[in-house]
Amino acid sequence: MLDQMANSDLQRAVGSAEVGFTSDGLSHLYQSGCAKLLLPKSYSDRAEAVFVNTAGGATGGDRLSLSVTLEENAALTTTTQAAERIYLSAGGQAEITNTARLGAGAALDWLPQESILFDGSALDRRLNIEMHETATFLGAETIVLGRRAMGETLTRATLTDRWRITRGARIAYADTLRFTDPADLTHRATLDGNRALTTLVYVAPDAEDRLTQARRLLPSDIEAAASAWNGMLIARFLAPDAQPLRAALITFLTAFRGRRMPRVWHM
Amino acid sequence: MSAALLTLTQWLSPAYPVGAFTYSHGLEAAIATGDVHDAQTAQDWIGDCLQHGAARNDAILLVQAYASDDPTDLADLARALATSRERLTETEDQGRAFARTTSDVWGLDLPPMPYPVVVGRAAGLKKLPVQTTVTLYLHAFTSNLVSAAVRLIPLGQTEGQAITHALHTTIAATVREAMRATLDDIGACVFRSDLSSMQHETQTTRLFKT
Repeated sequence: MLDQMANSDLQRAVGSAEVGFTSDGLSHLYQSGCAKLLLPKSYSDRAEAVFVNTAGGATGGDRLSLSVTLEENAALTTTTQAAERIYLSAGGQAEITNTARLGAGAALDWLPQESILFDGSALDRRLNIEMHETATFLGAETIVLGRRAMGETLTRATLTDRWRITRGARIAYADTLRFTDPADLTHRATLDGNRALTTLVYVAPDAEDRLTQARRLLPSDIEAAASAWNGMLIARFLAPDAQPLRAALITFLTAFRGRRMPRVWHM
Repeated sequence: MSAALLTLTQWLSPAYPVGAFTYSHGLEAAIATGDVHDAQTAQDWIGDCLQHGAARNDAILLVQAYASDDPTDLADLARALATSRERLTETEDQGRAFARTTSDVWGLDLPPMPYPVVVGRAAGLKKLPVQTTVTLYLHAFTSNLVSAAVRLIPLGQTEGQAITHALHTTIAATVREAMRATLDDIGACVFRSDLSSMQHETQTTRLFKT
């Protein structure tokens, strides 16, 4: 994989997938290149779409995208089949662009598994959500900086991870996690040397009413906090490594959603 | 130049009635947990907010607002970039207070907008030098947090001034970045500063609004 990517520009991975749902179910499915979408029989009451990157990771020059459209009152949970590995770049950035459009009363749970940044990786990712005021969006993205169990420490990596959520005609939430030197992440105000972080965003008509519940569900064994304003609830989680963060997220999300996690989370 | 410099010094001095001294940007929570407990940890924490945090984003927004004919979208973006409820309060309340006083005294038409956007807009309308504006804005941010640290840790006044002085190079570097940045360069990695701002909401003993 690494050799293949380093050797040739021509073999860079490109993949895009699109999925659309109405309140009656699937209305549109398109996939190309290394992107595949699985629509497993869901064992919760909500349809699921599982994004698969058949290239097995992403490196400089790779381009991946997923686009989700939910018509009025449609509901969907999206996830990824595995953790997304961002490998050493021989040049350029891996570009991941995800978009979702949510109609009136639609509900999207955006619950990818973690993205693991390897040493020398460069990732530029965008998540753009355009939603109706009455729609509901729950998203959680987890970044892991190397795997401690494997003895990996990042000495060189860059990340720009942009969330932009437009509600009605106005931008409601903008958040860009950005670093150009992993050494900066050892400081107390940044990550204090922690390797795993999650930002969770819940935008919904009842978001502010659920702050008390969300705070009660926050883990006590890792750092976490929540806040709510202007129809949004934001929670942030920070842990020394991927595993305690994953456990805390599963507990939080299972209770907050009142639904089991997508099956791939437990494989 | 001296008239321009006097105006900017007035706008960005602690005496200008934006109530800056009531906001700690989450620093009060970081002091309560012991993350910030002496001059060195205070300097590091504030320096990261300048270099990798909201202050850098503010500097970029200010420079963009200075050059913009209609900063409405920038104001919306600045609101959307708030990382917690208290961070939104901080930027909106100071911005509103700045707009009111500056409109009244200088006869400008400034609607309430987040603090960096309204400062950039006012400086643009008065054709004041943008680099000086953003430098003094970041200096005001820094000295306000240093004075919060002096009161809360507590530190001696001389130690506090030494922190501000040590952060001059960080301020200058952030100014240089903001002057050539675009909106696409906005971004931050002060995750634990953002956590502390959220934690401040539930802190039982607090002197500061944020």
